[in-house]
Amino acid sequence: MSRPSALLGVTTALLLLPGCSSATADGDRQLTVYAAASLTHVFGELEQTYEAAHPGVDVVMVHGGSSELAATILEGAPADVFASANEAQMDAVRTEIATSPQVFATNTLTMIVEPGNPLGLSGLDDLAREDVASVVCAPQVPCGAATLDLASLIGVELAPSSQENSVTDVVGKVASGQADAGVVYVTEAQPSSGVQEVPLAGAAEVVSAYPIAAMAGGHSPDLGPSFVELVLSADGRAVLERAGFGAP
Amino acid sequence: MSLEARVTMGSRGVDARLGVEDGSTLAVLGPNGSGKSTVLAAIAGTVRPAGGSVRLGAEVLHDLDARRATWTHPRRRRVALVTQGDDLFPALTVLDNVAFGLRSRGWGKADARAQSRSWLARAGLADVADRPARELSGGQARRVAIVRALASRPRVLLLDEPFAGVDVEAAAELRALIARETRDVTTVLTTHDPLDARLLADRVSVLDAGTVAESGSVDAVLSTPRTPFAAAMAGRVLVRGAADGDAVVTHEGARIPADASALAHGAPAAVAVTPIGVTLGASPGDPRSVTDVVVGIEGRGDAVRVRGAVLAADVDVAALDVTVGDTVVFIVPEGLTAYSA
Amino acid sequence: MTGTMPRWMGPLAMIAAAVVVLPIAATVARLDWSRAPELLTTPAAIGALTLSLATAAMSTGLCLLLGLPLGYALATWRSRLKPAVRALILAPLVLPPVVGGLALLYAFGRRGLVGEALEDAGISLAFTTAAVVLAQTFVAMPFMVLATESALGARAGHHEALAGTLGGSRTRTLWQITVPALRPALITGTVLAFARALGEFGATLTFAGSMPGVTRTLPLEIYLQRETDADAAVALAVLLVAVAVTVVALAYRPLAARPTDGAGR
Repeated sequence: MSRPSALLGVTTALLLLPGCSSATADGDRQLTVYAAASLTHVFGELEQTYEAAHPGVDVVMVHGGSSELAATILEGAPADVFASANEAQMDAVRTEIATSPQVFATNTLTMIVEPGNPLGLSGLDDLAREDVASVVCAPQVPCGAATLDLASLIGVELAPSSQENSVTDVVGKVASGQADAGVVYVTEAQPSSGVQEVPLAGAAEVVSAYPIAAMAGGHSPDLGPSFVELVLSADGRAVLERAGFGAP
Repeated sequence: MSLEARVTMGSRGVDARLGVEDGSTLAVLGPNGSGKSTVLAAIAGTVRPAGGSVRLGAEVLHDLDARRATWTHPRRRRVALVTQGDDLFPALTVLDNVAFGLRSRGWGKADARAQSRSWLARAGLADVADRPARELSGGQARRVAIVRALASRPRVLLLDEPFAGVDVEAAAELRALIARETRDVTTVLTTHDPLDARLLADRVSVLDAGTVAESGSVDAVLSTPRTPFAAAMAGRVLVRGAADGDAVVTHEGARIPADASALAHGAPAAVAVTPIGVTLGASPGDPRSVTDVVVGIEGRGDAVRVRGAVLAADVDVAALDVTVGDTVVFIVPEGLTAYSA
Repeated sequence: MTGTMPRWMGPLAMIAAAVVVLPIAATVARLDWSRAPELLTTPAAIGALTLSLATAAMSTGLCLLLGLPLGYALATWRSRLKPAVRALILAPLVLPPVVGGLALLYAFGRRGLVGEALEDAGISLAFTTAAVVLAQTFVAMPFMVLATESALGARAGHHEALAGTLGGSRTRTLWQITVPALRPALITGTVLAFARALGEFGATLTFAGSMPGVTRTLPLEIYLQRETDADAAVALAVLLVAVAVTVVALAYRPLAARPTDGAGR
C-alpha cells in the first residue's frame, strides 16, 4: 500500500469509528425501526409495549421524512422495519423488503389556522385569497402531492406563500404566526401544536396510505415481523386511532 | 505667531518647556529616547500628554493643567507634523498626498492638484508626482512628506528627526529644502546632530531625559554650553573651574589654557573643548598641554576618542598607543576662550 | 516559513485535508455527468441559482455597508463589555441553523419583537425575498465584522493621525487612508460573507419559507430535490460548491498576509 492510500485508510477508519459500536450496545438485542416522522408519537408508545413484551430487546427508532429514510435504507442502513408515509417510498426499497408491505394506517388532509380562526377561514378556496398567507407542502413531497390532488378535486387554485419540505414545517409556520393557514395531515393538527383545525370538505376523498414491512438488511431480521405484527394488532390500531390515523 | 508649549508625560519622564518666535526655527537637540517625539506629537495633538499647555499667539491649542482642561483636535490646529516613520499615505499618488491638506481645507480637486504640482516642482519632485507614494525611496518620501506638510499652509511645522533613516545624499537635498522653505514658517525640528541645529535653526533647546537642560541661540548653546549634557550634544567637552587670566583652573587643579582675560580672576568660568582639535602630546613641556588620566577609550567611526578625567581627544586609530589608566598629555588647540559659567 | 514544519505534522495535515475534501470529492464522484446538463438547466435549478446569487450579492452588500462600521466601532470602542458584545455579534457563527431561523422569527416574524411593529406599519417580511436577504445577512455579518475589526486592530493609526494634522476630516480620512489599507481584509470579509450567504439554509427555511423564485434558494432547492431526485440534488450541490470554491479561490487571501501600516512612533 502506498503512503497516501494508507493514510486514506486510516482516515476512513477514524471517520467510521463512532458508528461501529451501536450494534452491540449493552449486550441487548437490538431492533431498528425506520418510521416516518408523522409516526413519532405513536411508535414511541408502541416501542414501550414491544419492549415490555420482549425483555432483552432494545427498540431503536429512527424517524425522518419517508424519502430520506428510504434513501438511507438503500445506502445500506441496518433497518429491521420500515414504516413509510406513502407507498412510493416503500416501493423504492422493494429490494430490501423481507415481508410483503401492508397498509396499517391512513391519513387525510385538513386545514390549520391560528387558534380562534381570526380570519374566519372555512375552506381551501379561502387559501387563494390575497390577504391570506398560506403554506402547504411542496408538490415533491407526499403531503404536497396529496394537497394538490385535493385542490384539483375541489377545483381550487392554491396560491401559497411557501411550499415547505415537510408537514412539521407547515405546522411550524402557522403556529409561529408567520402564516395564516396551512394544509397538513389531520394527525399533525393537534391543538398542542398551537394551531386550530378547520376540517376540509372533500378531504376524505384523498387518502394517504401508510405501508409497513420487515426489512432484510437489519441486525435482527428475525424480530422485524413481530414488530410489524404489533403495529397491525388491535393494540396497535387503538394507539393509531387515538392519534388521528384512519383504518386501512 | 509664536509658539509656547509645555508638555508633561509622567510615564515617559517628560516635562519640557519650549518657545519659538513667530517665523523662526527651533531645534530640539537630544539623544534617542529623550522625549523629542513625544513633545512634537503633543504639540500636533496626535498624542494627548498628561499635562501642559500649548499656545499659539493668543490662541490656546490645549491646556490640560487648567481647571477645565481644553483640547483642540489636531484637525483644527493647523500644526503639521512630519515623523520619522512612513508618513505618506500608501494608497494615494504622491500628488494626491500633497493635495490632501488642501483638499481638506476645502480646495477643489483641480486647484489643489495644480498647487500641489507646483509645490513638488519647487522641491525638485515634479517627476514623481504621479507615482504611487509607496514606490518612493526613503529620502524622496521624506521630502514629499515635508512638502505635503508645507503645502497644507500650517501655522507651525513640526519635523521629527527629518534626516533619520535617510542616506547622506538625500539628507543634503532634504536639508536644502528645509532651509529654503521654512525660512518664514514657525518650525520646530528635533535632531541629535548639532550640525542640523547650526544649519537650520535660530535657537536650540537641549533635551535631557525629557527636560530642557539648556536653551538659547544656536551659537550660545553649541559654542558656550553651560551644562555637560548640552556640551556633549554639541560635540564638546565642558571644563568648569575658575578664571585665571590665560587659563581655566578646575577644582582639582587642572589648568586648561584658554583666554579668560575678560573674566575677573577667580570668577566661575567654563571652556568647551572640541575633542577633534585636541591631540596627544609627548611631554608636559608644551604651554598648551594638560596632563590627564585616561578613563575610557571609545570608537567613533574612523577615530578613537580617548577620554580623560578632564579632557578628551579624538585620535587616529593607528596612532593609539595608550590604554585606560595611563597618564597622558592632551594638547588643546589654540584660541580657546573661557566664558562665564 | 518554508521548511519549518515538523515532519510528523505532514500526515495530520493530510488527514485534515481528507476530512474536508473527501466528502466534497465523493459528492462530485456521485454526479451523473450525462444527466448534469439537463438537471442544471431546469427552470427550477436556474431560478434557484439566480435567486441565490442575487440574494447573496445583496446580503454581502449589506454586510459590507453595516459590518464595516460595526467592525470599526468594535475596534475603537473601549469598554469592559467589549468581549461580551463581540461574542454576541459573532454568535451567528455558532448558532445551529434552525436556532438562527427561530431567532429571526422571534425578532422579525409577523409576531416578533420588531416584526409586529413592521407589520402594523404595513411592512411584511414573511415569505419575501427580503426575508432571505435578512437571514443571509444575519449569518454572514460576523465574517465582515471580524475581518474589519482584526485588520483595524493591527493598525497603529499613524496615517490617520497624520491626516488629522493636515486637516483631514474623519470621513475623508476613512475613504482615502483607512479603507484602502483595509482592502485585503475587506475583500476577505466580503468573500467569506458571500460564500456563507450562498450556503445559508436553515435560517432561510425556518424564517423565509420556500417558494420558487421568491425564497427558494439553491440550498433549499437541493434539500427539496433530494426528496424526489437524488441525482438532481447532487448536480445542484456540485454547482453550489463550484460557485463557492471559485469565488473563494479568486478573491480570498488570508488575513494579515501583508503588513497593514507604516511604523508609528
